[in-house]
Amino acid sequence: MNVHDGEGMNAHIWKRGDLRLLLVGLAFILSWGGIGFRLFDLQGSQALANAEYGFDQRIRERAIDPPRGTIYDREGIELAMTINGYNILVDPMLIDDPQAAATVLAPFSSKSYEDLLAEFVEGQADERRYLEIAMRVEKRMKAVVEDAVDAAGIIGVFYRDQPLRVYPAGSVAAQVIGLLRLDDNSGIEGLEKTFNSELEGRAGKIVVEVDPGGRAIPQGQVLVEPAVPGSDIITTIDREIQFIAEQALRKAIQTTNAVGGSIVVLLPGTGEVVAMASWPGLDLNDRSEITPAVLRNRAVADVYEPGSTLKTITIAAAIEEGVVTPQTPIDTPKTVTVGEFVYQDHASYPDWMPVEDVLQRSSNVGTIEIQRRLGNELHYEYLTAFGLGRASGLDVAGERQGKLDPTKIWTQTSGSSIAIGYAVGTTALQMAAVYATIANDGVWTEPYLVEEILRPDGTRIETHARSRRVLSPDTASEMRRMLGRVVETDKGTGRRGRMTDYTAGGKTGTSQKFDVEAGAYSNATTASFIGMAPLNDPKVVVVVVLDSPNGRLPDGTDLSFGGASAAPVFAEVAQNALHQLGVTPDRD
Amino acid sequence: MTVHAIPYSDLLARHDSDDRVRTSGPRIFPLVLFAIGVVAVFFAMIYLRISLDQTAFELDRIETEIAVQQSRQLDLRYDLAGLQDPLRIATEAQRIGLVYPEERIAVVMDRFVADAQILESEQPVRAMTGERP
Repeated sequence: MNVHDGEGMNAHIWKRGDLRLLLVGLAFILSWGGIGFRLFDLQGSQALANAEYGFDQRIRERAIDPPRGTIYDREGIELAMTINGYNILVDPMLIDDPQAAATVLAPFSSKSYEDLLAEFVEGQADERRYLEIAMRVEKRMKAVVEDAVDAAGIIGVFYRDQPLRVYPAGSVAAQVIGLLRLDDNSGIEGLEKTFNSELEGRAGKIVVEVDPGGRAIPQGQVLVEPAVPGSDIITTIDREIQFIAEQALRKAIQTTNAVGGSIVVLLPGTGEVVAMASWPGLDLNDRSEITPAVLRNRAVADVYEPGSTLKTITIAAAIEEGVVTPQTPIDTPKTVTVGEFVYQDHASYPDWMPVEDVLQRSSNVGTIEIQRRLGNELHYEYLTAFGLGRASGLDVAGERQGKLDPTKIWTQTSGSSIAIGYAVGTTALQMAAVYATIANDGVWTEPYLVEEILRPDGTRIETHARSRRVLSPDTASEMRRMLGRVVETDKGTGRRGRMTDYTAGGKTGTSQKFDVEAGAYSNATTASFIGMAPLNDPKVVVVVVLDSPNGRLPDGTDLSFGGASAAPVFAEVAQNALHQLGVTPDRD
Repeated sequence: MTVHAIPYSDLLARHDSDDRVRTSGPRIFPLVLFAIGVVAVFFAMIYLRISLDQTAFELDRIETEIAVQQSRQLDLRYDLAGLQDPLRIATEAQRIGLVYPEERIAVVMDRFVADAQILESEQPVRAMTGERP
C-alpha cells in the first residue's frame, strides 16, 4: 500500500513537473517555431517581395531632362536657347505673416497682393505645403526675389530648378523661330515645332541610393543613363538683316496704314532665306501679348493674289518658248474682252508697245495678249516649274501651298486672269523663289531656312536644296534687263525702288482683295514689290507684301499701289542687306 | 599480440622534445603577425573606405561646380546674345544721338589680287587688324 501510495505520490510529483516542463517546452517550441516560421516566411516565401520593398525604400529613380538644342542664326548667334531658370514656390504653413509675405512677393508674381494673401490664408487653413508664386524666372529675377525675401525675413519661400527657354533677340524672327508649350516643352510653332524631335533630345534617368532623409548617398549610385541633349540648329537667318526687314516693315505699316505685311530676303544662288519678317510681330519672351494672329508667319501662311508681279512668269515663259522677243510689238488697246470679262489697264498707254515696255509699264492688256500667244498649257507648265501651287518645301510649320488650278478646270478667263496675277494664290516665299530663278540664271532653287543640324554626337546634317532649270541663262539675263527697266527708268512702275548704292530690277504688284463675304473684289489691295540687286549679278531677292495699304503721299500718290508703298521698302531693305552681306556697290 | 617495453630514457627524451616544440617562439609569432595583419587590413579598409568616401564627396563637389560653371556659361552666352540684340543696339544708339551717315563710303578690300593697289579707304581697316597703314 505504501509502495502503492509512494508510487502514487511520486507519480503525482512527476506529473506536475512534467506539466511545467511541458508548458515551458511548448512555449519555447512555439516561440522558436514562430520565429523560425517568420524567418522562413520573410527570408523564404516573401524574400523577393521584401527585397524589392527594401530596394524601393532606399532607391530613387530620377529623370534627367535633356537640354533642348539651341537655334542659331547664320553667324552662330543664339536665337533661342535653354538656360537654367527657377520656379518660386511657397510653403504656406511656414509663413508667419501672410500680409508681409504677400506684400514682398506680389511684385514678382502675376497674382495681385489680394490674391496672394487669400491663397496664403486659405493654404494655411487647408494645411497646404505648396503654392506657386512665379514660374520660369531667370536667375537675375530669382536673386532679386531672394534679396527681398531675406531682407523681410520671410521663411517658407523655395526655388526649384526649371529649364527656361529664352530668346535673346526677343522679337527678331519671332514667327520663324516659334515657341514652346509650357506644360511639356514641345514646339507649337515655327522651327521649334518643325524640328521638335531634333531639338528636344532624349530624357535620361539616374537611379540612386538615398539615405532616410532622401539625400543621395555618395557612391551609392546604382545606374546612370545619361540624357541625350537635343541637336542644335543653324538657320540661314541673318539676325541683322532680319532686324532691318522687321524695322522697315513696321515703319511701312505705320506709313501706309496697312493691316499687316511680310518681307522675305532670299539669296538667289543658294535658296537661303536670310530674313523672313511678318507684321504684326511679337516678343517671344512675353507671352502675355501672344495671339494666333501675331504668331502667324505671313510670308508662308498668307496666300494672296500676286497681281502684276506674276506677269514676269508669263513674259519669261513666252520669251523662253520663242513666242515673243523683248522687242516684239504687242497691241495694247484700252481694253480687251475675254469671254464676258473686260480687262483694262490702270493708265493710258500707246496703241502698241514692245514686250519690254509691257513689263516696264505693267500693262494688263499687253500681258494678256502675250499669254494668249503662249497658250494655257505652256503657261501652266511654267507656273508649276516656277514652284507655284505647292509648298516650296521650306522647313517652317504652317507653310501653305497656295492655289493653282490644273488647266482642265480653267475657265475661259483663267489664263488671262492668271497672266496678270489673279485667280492664282501664292505666298511671299513662293514669289521670292520665282524671282530668285531669274536672278539665278534660270535655275529654280528650293528655299530653305535650316543650314545644318548639329547632333550631339558631332554629326552634321547639311541641307542640300533641290534645284531645276526653268529658263535658259539667256532668257533669265534678258528678264533681268527688262526688270531693271522697271526700276531704273523713270517710266518704270518700280522707280521708287531705286537705291543709292546698287542697281536693281524688280516688279510692282497691286491686286484687289477678294471679299469672301461679299463674294466680290473689294477696294482694298495687296500691294507688293519683288526685286533683285545688284542687277548684273543679283545677290539678294527681296519680296515686300503689304496687306491693305491706303492713304496718299504728300504728292498725292495713292499708297494702295505696290509701286508707291512697297517699292521704297524694297529699296531700304535691299540696300541695307547688301551692305550687311558685304556686296560692293555697283552704282557710281 | 606482442608488447614491447619502451625504455624510460626514451620516454623522457620524447617528453623533453615535445616541451621544446610547444614552448618555442616561432609557433606564436605567425599567429601574432596574422592578428596584426588582420587588424592592419581592417584599419586599412576603413581608411580606404573613408578615402573613397572623401573622394566621392570631392567628385560630387566638382560635379556640382561643373554644373554651376556650365550654368554660368549658359547665362553669359544668353547675356552676350542679348547685348548683340540689334533692337537694343539701335535703341541705345538712338538714345545717345547716333544717326546714319548721309554719305556711305564703301571699303573695298582686294587682298587676293597680286599687286593690287591698296585703296586709301582700306587703311583704317588694316590698322584695326594690326597692320600699320
